[in-house]
Amino acid sequence: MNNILEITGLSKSYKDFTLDNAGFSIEPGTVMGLIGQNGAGKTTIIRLIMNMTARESGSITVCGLDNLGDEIAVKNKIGFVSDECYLYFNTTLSRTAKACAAAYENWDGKKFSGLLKKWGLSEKKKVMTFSKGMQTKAMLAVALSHGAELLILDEPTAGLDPVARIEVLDILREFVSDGKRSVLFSTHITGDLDKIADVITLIIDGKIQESTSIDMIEDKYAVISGSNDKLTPENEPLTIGLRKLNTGFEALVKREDLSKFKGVSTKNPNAENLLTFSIWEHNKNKEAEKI
Amino acid sequence: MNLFINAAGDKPMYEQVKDGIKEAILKGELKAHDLMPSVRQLAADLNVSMITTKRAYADLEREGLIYTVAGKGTFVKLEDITVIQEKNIGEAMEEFRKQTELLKKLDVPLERLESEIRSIYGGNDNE
Amino acid sequence: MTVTERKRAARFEKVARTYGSIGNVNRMLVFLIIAVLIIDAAIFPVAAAEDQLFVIFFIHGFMLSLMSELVVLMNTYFIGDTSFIADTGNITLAGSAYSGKFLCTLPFEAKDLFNLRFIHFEKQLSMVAVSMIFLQIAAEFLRAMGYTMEPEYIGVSCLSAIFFEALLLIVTLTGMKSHYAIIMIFAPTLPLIIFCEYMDGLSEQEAAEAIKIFSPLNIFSGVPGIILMIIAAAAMAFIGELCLKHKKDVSWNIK
Repeated sequence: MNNILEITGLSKSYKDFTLDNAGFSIEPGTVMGLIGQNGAGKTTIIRLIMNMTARESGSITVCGLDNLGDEIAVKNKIGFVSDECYLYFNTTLSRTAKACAAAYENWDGKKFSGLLKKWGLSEKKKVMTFSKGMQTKAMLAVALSHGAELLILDEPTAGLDPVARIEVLDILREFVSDGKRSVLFSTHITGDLDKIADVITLIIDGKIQESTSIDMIEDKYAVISGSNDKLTPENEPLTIGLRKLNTGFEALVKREDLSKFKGVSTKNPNAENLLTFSIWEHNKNKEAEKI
Repeated sequence: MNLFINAAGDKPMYEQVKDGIKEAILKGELKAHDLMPSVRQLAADLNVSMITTKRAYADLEREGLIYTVAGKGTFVKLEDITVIQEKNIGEAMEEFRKQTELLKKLDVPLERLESEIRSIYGGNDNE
Repeated sequence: MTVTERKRAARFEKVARTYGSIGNVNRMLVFLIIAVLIIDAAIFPVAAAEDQLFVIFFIHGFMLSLMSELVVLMNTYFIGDTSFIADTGNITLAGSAYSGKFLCTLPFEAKDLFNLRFIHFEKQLSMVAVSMIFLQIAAEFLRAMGYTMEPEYIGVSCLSAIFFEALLLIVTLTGMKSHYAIIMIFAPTLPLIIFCEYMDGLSEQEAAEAIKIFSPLNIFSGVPGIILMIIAAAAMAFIGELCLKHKKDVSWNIK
C-alpha cells in the first residue's frame, strides 16, 4: 500500500530562512509528530503540502498522488486544521457546509452536523463569534467529514482546554485505528505527542534531523543526569545537548554509550527531551563553527 | 490487568509494558488462553502510542508468552508460569554471580555479604 | 481553457459565492451597463451638444472600461486575493480570516482561481468591446443628425480602452497582487484626466485644432473601427488563452 505521505528533497528559500532538502514519509495507520522550534520549518512544510506556496524543488505525494499534478484528488484526501482559523469570519457553519458539499466528492453532511452538535457549535452563528477553541473544533469537524485519509494538524490543541485536548487525541487515535489513515501533527505541546505519536520527526533550522518511530528513539537514546563530577574528558563528548548547572548536569546520550557514564541516573527520553537536547546541541555546534 | 507505566522510568516504554504484562502473567492475573486487549485498546488505555504496545506484543510473542490468532485476537500462551519464573531467576542469579565476583575482587569479606543477604531475607520475614 | 477547466472554474466560483461574500460578476457588469444607459437617458434630452458628446466619449469610452475593471478586481479581492489584506493591513479584515485560505483547503486546483479570473476578464473585455462598438455606431448616428463628432475623439477613446484592457490582461495573467494591480491600472488615468481638463479649457476652435494630433486614430471610426475593436479584443483573448495554457504548477499564494 502506498505511503499516506511521502516527501523527498523538498526545498524552499525565504529571505532569512531556507528549508533544505526535507524528506520523510508517513505509513498508513500512523500518527507522526512534527516538532521543532518556531521558524524551524514545520509550518513551511505544511504550507507546501497544501500548495499555499510554491516549492522550489522536491516532490510531495499523498497516497501516491502528486500534490500539484493531482491537486484535486489530493485535497479530497486531506483534512486540514490550521493554527489560525481559516474559516471566513463573516460566515456561518451552515454556509460552510453548503460550500463543502458542492466542493468535496464525499462530503458527509450528517457527520458534520453530528460533530457540531456534539461539540456545541452553532450552525447559525458567524465564525467570528466563536472562541479560539471552538474555531479549532469547527475546522476539525470539516476535516473529519469528507473521507480524508490524511489529517494535517498545525497546533490543533493550543487553544483547547484540557478536557477538549484529550477528546481531540481520542479522535485522532480513532482516526488511525483502521490502519489505513494517518495523521501529521505539528505541535509544541510535546506532552500530547508522548501520548499518541508513533513517529517523531524533528526539524531544526530547516533540516530534518530525525524521523524515527518512538520505540526506536527509546532504544537509541536515554536522558542522563547526575553531579558534574561524573563527567570526564572521555564521556563528555558523547553527550548531546549537555546542560551543566550548579546543581548538576543533564544530557541526552546514546544508550550504547551509557556504560561510559558511572553514577548517573537514567531516564527514558520523551519528545520534549529529543527536541530540547537536539536544539541545544545544534546551537552549541553552530557556536563552535563560528569560532 | 494492572499496568503501571512510568514515563520517567529508565526503560523504554515498550519494555515497561512488556515487563508489566509478564508480571501480570506471573502473578496469575492473566491466565493461559486469556484474551488480551488489542494493541489499539491497550495504547488508548495506557495513553501511549500504538507502536509501543505493538512492539511490546511483538517481543512477548517472540519470547513465547503470547500468541495471535488472525481475526480473533491475542492470547496468553503459557500454561506453566514457572518457565518465566525460572528464566527470571536464572537472569537474576547470573547478575548476582557477577556482582559477587566483583565484590570478591574488591576484597569484601564473605561475612559482610552474608549479613547483607540475611538482612534482606530477614526483613521479608518480619513483614 | 478546456471545457472541463471552464466548468470547474465556474463550480469554484459557485462554491466561493456560497461560502464567502464575493459578488456576482455578471450581475455587476449588467448593473454597470444599465447605470450608463440611465445616465444616457437622463442627460441626452436636456444636455447641450458638447455635453452629449462628452458623455458618449467619456462614459461609454474608457470610464466604462475602468469601472468594469474595478468590478473584476474587487471580485478577485473577495474570492481571496489575500495579499491585499495582508499588505494593506485593512483593519476590519486584519483580524479575520479571508476566504482564500479556506478555498485552498478544498479540492480545487490553484489554477482554477487563475482560470476564474481570466473568465471574468473575458466577460469584462467583451462588455467593453461591445460598448466601444456602440460608441462608434452612436457617433455615426449623431453625425447623421448633424452634430460635429470628430473621429479623433472616438480614436482616443478606443485606444485608451484597449490600453486599459491590456493592463488588466497583464495583471490577470501574472496574478499580480490587487493593490499593485489597482495602482497600475488607475495611474494612467491621470494623464487622460489632465488631457480632458485641458481640452475642456480650450475654446471650440482651439479644441478642434488640438484634437487633430490624434488623426491617425481615425481608423477607429465607423465600420473599420468596429472591425478593429473586434480584432483587438479577440487578439487579447487569444494571447491570454495561450499564456494560460503554458502556466504550470500554480500555487494559491496564501500569505
